[in-house]
Amino acid sequence: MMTCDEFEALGLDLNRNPARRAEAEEHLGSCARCAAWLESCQELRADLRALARETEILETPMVVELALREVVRAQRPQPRQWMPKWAWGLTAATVVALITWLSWSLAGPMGPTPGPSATQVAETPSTRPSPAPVGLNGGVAAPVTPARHPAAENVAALTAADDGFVALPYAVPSFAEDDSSVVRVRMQRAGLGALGLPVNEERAGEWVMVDLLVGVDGEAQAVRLLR
Amino acid sequence: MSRTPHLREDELLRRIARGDEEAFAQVYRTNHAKLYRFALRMTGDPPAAEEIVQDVFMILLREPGRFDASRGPLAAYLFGIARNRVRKHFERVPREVPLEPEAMSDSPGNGSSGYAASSNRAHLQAPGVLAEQSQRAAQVRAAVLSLPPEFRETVVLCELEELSYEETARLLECPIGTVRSRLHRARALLLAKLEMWRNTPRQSAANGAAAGFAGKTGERQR
Repeated sequence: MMTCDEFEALGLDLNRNPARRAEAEEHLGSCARCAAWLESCQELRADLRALARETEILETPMVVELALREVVRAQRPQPRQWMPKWAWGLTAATVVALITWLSWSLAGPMGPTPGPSATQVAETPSTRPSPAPVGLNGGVAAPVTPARHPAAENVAALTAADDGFVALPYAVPSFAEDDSSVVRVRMQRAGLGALGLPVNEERAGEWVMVDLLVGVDGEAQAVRLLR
Repeated sequence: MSRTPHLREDELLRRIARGDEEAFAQVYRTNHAKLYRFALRMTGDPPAAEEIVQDVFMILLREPGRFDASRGPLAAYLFGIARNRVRKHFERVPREVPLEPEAMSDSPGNGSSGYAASSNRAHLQAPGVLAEQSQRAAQVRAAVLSLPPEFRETVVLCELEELSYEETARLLECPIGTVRSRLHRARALLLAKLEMWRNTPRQSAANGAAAGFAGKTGERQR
């Protein structure tokens, strides 16, 4: 005859132990305490299964993967310089010497030809507009001062756009607008700090919905906070 | 991901060390959800679970050489790191056991992706049923979180992840007998806690009386 201790030790594994099943069922028929215990255990198992089902859809927020990918990218070996640094210096010095010698030899032994005075030179840019530079595509390019990375202008355009995206401070965009995609994630405000945006510490724990504009290279380029 | 479906894990790690994002994505996507669920079920704290998953992969990225393919699969290695991080989390954060399980489900800190709010998926059911289920789920969650860590991880792996005793023993690096006994004691603790919260003492007395076992009620057969 099976004892209560033996029955409890067998517990919910009754089905895994067919050899002792008949004995356990016999004990169950004569022991109300163990019957109640088994019922409670089965209820508990059902509750735990329900808990498992509720939480099985949970996944790590997307922002974690984005942050880790950033680390992987940083591990990429830098492309080797095809010329050592000292060679660059030597080349630069040679070019300067060449230009000096050329200007001296073109001016001839009599010295430089009379040109505008220092005052005139200083005044030239402001009094006489220089001809507009020709663009790469043959058109007349607008004067660009200061020079700006064309991709950075994409992001600037995004920032100014009505769709509410704000360019990430560190982003160096390398995408065409058509190839970018918008990923909607739910994250804590503190996560915005990881993207380089200012965060109010008092509200860092708040959950917000955010659209991330991801370029073809997988890097987040801009962010839009959803209300 | 599709271009590298059958690479060996050590080869994947070598590629990750060279900055191969695709190889990393493959490893990450295979493992992150299980690790996150484990961390979340152990801590009950979504931000902490996030941090633990991030730490696990950061360790993998910084020290890929620590993984030895001959000692077991990468998933088990990552799980081992996650377990250590969970332990460190418990050391760092004072143990907070909710006195009122209902407080967990109402807490604003538990957002919709949080552990507690996940039970609100059954929104189409009648409010009464929903409330009862929600309360019951909150009690079970709180009871699991109140277990000592070594019992809790056994419950999480065997009952929530539905791993076999053998798989659990392998992950926890302990004998199967230890898994069985921990699970047995964990169930007893869970039952006691839930009975206390639900104020429903074990049915033995009522059942026993009804079934004519009044004399035997509460007595153990030896």
